[in-house]
Amino acid sequence: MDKNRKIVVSILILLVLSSVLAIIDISISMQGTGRDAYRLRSPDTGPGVGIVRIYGPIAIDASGGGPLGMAYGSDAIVQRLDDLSRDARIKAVVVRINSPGGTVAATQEIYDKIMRLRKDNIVVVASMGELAASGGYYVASACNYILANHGSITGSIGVIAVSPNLKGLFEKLGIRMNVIKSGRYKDLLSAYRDISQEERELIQEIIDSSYKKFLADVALGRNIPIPEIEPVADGRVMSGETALRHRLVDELGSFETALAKARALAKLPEDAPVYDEVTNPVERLLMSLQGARGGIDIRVDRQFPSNLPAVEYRYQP
Amino acid sequence: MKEFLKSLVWVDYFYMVFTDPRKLAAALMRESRSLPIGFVIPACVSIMDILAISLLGSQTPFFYIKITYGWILFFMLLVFQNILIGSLVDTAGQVLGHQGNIKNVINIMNYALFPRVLLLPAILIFSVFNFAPVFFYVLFSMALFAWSAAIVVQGLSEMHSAGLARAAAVFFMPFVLIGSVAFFAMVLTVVSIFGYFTA
Repeated sequence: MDKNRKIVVSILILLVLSSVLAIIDISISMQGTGRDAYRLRSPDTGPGVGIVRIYGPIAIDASGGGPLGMAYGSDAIVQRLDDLSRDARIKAVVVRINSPGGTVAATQEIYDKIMRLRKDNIVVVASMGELAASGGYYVASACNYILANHGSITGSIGVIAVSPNLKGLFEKLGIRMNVIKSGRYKDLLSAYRDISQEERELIQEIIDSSYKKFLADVALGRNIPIPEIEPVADGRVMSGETALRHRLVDELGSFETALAKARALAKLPEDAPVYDEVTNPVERLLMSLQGARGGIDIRVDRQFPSNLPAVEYRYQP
Repeated sequence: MKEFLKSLVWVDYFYMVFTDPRKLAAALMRESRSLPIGFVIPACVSIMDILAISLLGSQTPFFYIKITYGWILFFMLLVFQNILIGSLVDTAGQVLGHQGNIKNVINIMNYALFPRVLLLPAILIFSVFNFAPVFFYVLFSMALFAWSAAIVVQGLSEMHSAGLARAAAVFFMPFVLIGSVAFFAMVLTVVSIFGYFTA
């Protein structure tokens, strides 16, 4: 080999060496041990705690998902919980809630999924943020243990259905709707006429049935008899401290405390890794390309535009 | 192709990138098998760049996904960039009366990227000593871009048998055109938005 080629080969070897050194350097700094700790560990892969975040109004995504199979809304939360339950490393899950609740069906789906995780012997701990009211509390009640901050707003156990009555406005504008229907209740909760007493009773029946289900599920999740919950299950909101007094939560504490509690309940070491969801869009795209489910956007704070009246477990001041 | 690889002639191309870009351009024009080897360079550059950028900040385990798959996206971006700029440079050459050969232009541009692989060892030193690595990353990136541009200009000069000034004009014409279009588009957008709000 002539001299020139030897120089090029030396440069190539130098490049390979620098790449290896760079990877080692990045791996060391990734562990947070600093450059002074001459200890190289593999990335966290052992048994640990998974995180699920429920932020914003809870609803089933009406748009049918995003690009690259990304899911949104309650479907994404259920999918994330399902992924965690299939992951052999996950021994506990912390559900971080900052939500005023949402539609009845979406909330019940998340509740059922959490209950299934509990049956699979995965410890589920709820950590309330600023707000975990109504449907937000419904979801929390499915968890083994609930932590709220002192000032978290929670409670609001109840069901609500709101429908606008635009009859007066329509009359003022001279607009009349032509309605051709197959049955007398087909345009129930129509916005352009008054609701009749019979219609109100029909809706009330749905509300009462959903309320009973709410109470029964909270009682089941919290292992408290229904008569003990009923006095505070009148739609009132309360602080974390008051909720603790009424046994709606188990402890006052932050998200960090919830993580520590999850590790303790799952009998994991104090430094057990935390597997958080991927939120960076570029990372999500790459995870999708890899075929991993990290590509889902599990936050539900997208607005699902709809003018249809809905029965909701929702705190609506 | 196998014989070409075994002959180690391609190693000489890498040497010529540093020592004699004109000779490199002449060699690349003679040897059509140099084109596929040329695309290995953007691949190496993308891996090295990802490593260099990763050295600048704290990383999460996502780094391993980035270095396993992320470089492919970066590589595709670099190739697309070379093809786009190569096409524009080739068009500019034809506008100025030279014979077009887009394959050669893209080939030269691929090889001209090679000095960028030196960014990683340079940044590694500043990162280990924690001595303004971000500043030196920006500084070296600019310097290496200038180096790559100089290689392409010399290559174009050899390819078109033209002087350095004319080759520089061919290379920079697309950038000037794109810059001018972008500038006037921005001015028009600002004027339109301002007009919309004041109307």
